[in-house]
Amino acid sequence: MATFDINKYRQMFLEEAEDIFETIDTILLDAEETNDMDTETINSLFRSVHTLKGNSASVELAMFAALAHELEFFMDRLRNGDLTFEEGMASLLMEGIDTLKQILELELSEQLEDHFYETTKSVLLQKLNSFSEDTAEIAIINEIYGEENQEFGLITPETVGEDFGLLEIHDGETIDDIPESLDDYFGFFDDEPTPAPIAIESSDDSFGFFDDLISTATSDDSFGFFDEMDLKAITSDDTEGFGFFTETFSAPENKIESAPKVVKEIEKANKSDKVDKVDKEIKKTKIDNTVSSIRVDLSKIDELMNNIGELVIAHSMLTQYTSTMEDQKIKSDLSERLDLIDRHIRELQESVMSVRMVPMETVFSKFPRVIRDTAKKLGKKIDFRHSGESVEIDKAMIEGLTDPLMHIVRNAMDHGIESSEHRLKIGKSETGILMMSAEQANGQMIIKIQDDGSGINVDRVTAKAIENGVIEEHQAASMSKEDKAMLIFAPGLSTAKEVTDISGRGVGMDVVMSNIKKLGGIVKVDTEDGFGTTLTIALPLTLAILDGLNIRVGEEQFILPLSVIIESLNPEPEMIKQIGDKSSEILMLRNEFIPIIRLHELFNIQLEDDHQLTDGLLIVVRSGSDKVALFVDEFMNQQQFVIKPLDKNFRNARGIGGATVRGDGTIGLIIDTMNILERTTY
Amino acid sequence: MAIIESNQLLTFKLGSETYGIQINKVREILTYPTVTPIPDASAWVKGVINLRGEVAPVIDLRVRFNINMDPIYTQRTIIIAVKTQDNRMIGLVVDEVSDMENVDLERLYPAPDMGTSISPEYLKGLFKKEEKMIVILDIDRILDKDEMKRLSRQSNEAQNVYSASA
Repeated sequence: MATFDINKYRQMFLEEAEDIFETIDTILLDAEETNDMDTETINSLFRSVHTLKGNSASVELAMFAALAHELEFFMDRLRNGDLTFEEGMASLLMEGIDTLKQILELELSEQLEDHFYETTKSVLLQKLNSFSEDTAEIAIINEIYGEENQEFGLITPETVGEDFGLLEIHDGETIDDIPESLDDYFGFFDDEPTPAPIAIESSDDSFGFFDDLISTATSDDSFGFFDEMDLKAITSDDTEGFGFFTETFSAPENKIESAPKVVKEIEKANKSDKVDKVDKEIKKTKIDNTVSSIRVDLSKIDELMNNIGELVIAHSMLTQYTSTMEDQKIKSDLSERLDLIDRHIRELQESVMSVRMVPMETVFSKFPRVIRDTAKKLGKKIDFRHSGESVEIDKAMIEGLTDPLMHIVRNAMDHGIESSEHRLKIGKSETGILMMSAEQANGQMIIKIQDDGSGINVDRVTAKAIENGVIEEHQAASMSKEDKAMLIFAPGLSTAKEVTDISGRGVGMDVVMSNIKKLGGIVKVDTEDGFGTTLTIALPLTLAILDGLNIRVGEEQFILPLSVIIESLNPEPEMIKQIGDKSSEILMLRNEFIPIIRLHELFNIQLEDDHQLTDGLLIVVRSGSDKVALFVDEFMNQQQFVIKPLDKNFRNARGIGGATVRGDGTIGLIIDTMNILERTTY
Repeated sequence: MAIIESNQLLTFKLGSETYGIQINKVREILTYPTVTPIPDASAWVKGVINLRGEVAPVIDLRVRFNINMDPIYTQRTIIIAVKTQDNRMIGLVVDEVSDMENVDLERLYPAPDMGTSISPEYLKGLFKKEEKMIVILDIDRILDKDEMKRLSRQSNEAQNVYSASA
C-alpha cells in the first residue's frame, strides 16, 4: 500500500501553488500601482517564489523548479540591493509569474516540450537581464556611497560586522545621527515607553528594540519594546545599546549572543517620514504572524459532518426512548441531560460548518489581476472596486462561483464599459468603474457586479434572440425589459460585432447561468441604457445546510427549501382554472396565472379517491425565473437539513435535488423546484 | 492452500437458489429499516436508506432478476450493504443470508448462456459444492453506475409512454 504516489503530492502542491500565485499577484499589482516595493514586500515575494521552487522540485517538476529558480535569483538580487525596484519591473515579474503558471500546466499534463521551454525561458531571462544591466550602475553607486549610507542601507552579514556589530560605532554614530529624527519617525512606539522591569537593573543605558523595526536609544532609563522581545537576551548582556541586524545575521561573538531583534526595514523606515505608512507596515506584519492555518481536505470535513449527523440520530433515538419511560423522575432527569447534549451537538455542528466558510476575499482576490490584464488588452481604463471582503461563503461554492464571475467581469469590460475616448466624448469620466460587492441578506449571499458602461442594448439582444430562434416574435412583444435583458443568458447569443479573445463567442453567459443555478442561485439583470448594468446573483450561504419546510404528500414527506417559497394559500375553487383537459390546471392569483403541479402525480403517490385541490394547500415557489404552485396535503415543521447528494450512490431523480438524514435516521428527499417543470429553460 | 480473502463468499438465497458475492464487497448486514421511496424509480429500486451517514439506494435483487416480482417486506427482511469498486454504498435485499464459503475463483464453471433469468454477463460463474450449486454474482457489473442509469431510464421511458397514453 505504501506506494509513493507522486500525483497525490502534486495535487497538494498545485493547491498550494494556486494560493501562492494569488499572493504574488496581489503584491505585484500593488507594487505596480504604487510604483514602489519595500523590503518587506520583496522579502515576501522572494519567500513565495522560493517556496514554489522548493516544493515543485520535491514533486519532480524539474522545469518549473528551474524557472522558478531564475525568478528567485532575480528577486534575491532585488532583496539584497543588487537591483532596485523600478517602473516596469512589476509588470515584468507578472509576466514571469504567468510563464511559470503556463509551464506548470504544461509540465503537469506532460505536454511540455523542451524546445518550447527553452525558448520561453530564454525570452524571460533576457527580459530579466535587461533590468540587471540598467540597474548595475545604481548598484555601483550604492557601493560607493555605502559608507555614508551605512545606517540606512540594507545590512547584509558582511556589512554588519563592520558597521553595526560594534556597539561603540552604533553609539557613536547612530545616536548622534538619528535619534531626534527617529523620535519623529517612530510615533508608533509607546508614547510613554514602558519600563521593562527585569532589564532595567542590568543595564545602564537605554534600549529600544523592536520587532522588525529599527531600534535605537531613545531616552534614559526608558524602553520601548515589542511583544516579541527576548528578555533573556537583553538581561544577559550588559551592552549599552543594540545595533541593527538583518534576519540573516548571526550575532558576532560575545556582544550580542542571541541577536535580539531583526531589522529589516531600516531603509524603509528611515526614508519614510510618514508614521502611518510604517503603521500600516506593522499591521501587515502582524496579520502575517497571527493567521496560521492548515490545509484540510474538504471530504474530511464532510466526514466530520457525517459523524455529527450520526450523533444527532443517536441522540434522537435516546430521546424517543426516554419519552416512553414510566418513571417520571428518571424521565425528567434524563431529558434534561439530553437537552444539554443536544445543545453541544448543535454547537459542534455550527463549528464544523464554520470551518467550511471562507471570506469572499478569496474570490475577489482573483480579479484585480485579470482585470488589469484584460483592461490592458482592450486598451481601456478600468477601476476595480470591491466591498464585502469579509462576508463568508462556503468553500465548496467558491469553485463554482469563480468561473461565472470571471465571465461576467470579462463581458462587462468588453461590452459594457466603453473605450476611454468614447467615454470622454459622452461626458463620462475616462476610467470605467467595475464594482463587485458581496453581502448577506435574508439568509442569502448577494453578489453584485456593477459597471458604469453603456448598458445592454435590449432591442439588439431581442432582435438577435428572435433571429436565432430563442424566442418568437410574438413572445418578444409581451416581454418586459428585464425579461429581454435576461436573454443575454440564452445559449449562442452574442451581440458583439466582432469575436474577440475576451468574449463575444456567445458561449459563456448561458454557462454562467447554468453554473449559478447549479449552486442553487438566481441571477437578475438591471440595465439602463448609457448608464451601465448591474448583475445581481443571489446564492444560498452554504451548499451543505438548508432551511427547509417539511411537507406531506399522501403518506410521504418531502422537504421544500425555504428559499424558494414565495407564499402558500388555501385555494378557493374559483381561483383554479383549467386549460384543455384536467391535466393542466392553473392558479389565478391576483394578476398572475401560475401552473399547478400536483406533487402526488409527479411523485406517483397513490391516493384513494379524487383529490380536490381545495382539500390541501398550494405553495407558490420559484422555479428559475418562473413561478409554480405545488399542491401538497399539509405543512409540517420547519427545520435545518444537512444536504447529501443523491447521485453519489445512485442517480438523480426528477424533481429531487438531494436528500437528508432525518432525526429518526430515515432519509428525507429534498424537492428541487428548478427542474420541476422539466422545461428547457435557457 | 492459502485462503485469499476475496475467495471467501457470502452466500444468500434468492428464491430457492443459493447465490454468492465476494465477502470483501460486503460492509454490513442489516434488517430492513424504513426505506424512503424514490419517485420516478424502477420497481427494483426500493428507495434510499441511511447507511453510515450516506444516502444509499436499496435494490431488491429478487425483483431485479425476476425471481419474485412481488416480495413482502417485514422487519426480518435482510439487506446486505455492499461497497462497489467505485466506492458507492448500495443495499441489496435478499431472502436470507446462508453461510460463508471458501471458493477457488479459478475453478468456477462458466455460466451457461441460456436457462437463467440472470444474464451471464452479471455472473462470475457457478460453483459446485457437494450437490449444491452456488451462483456467483459479479456485483460490480450488476451495480455499475451507467448500467443502473440505463436500466432505470428504460423503465422510466416505459412509464412515460404509459402516462402519455393515459
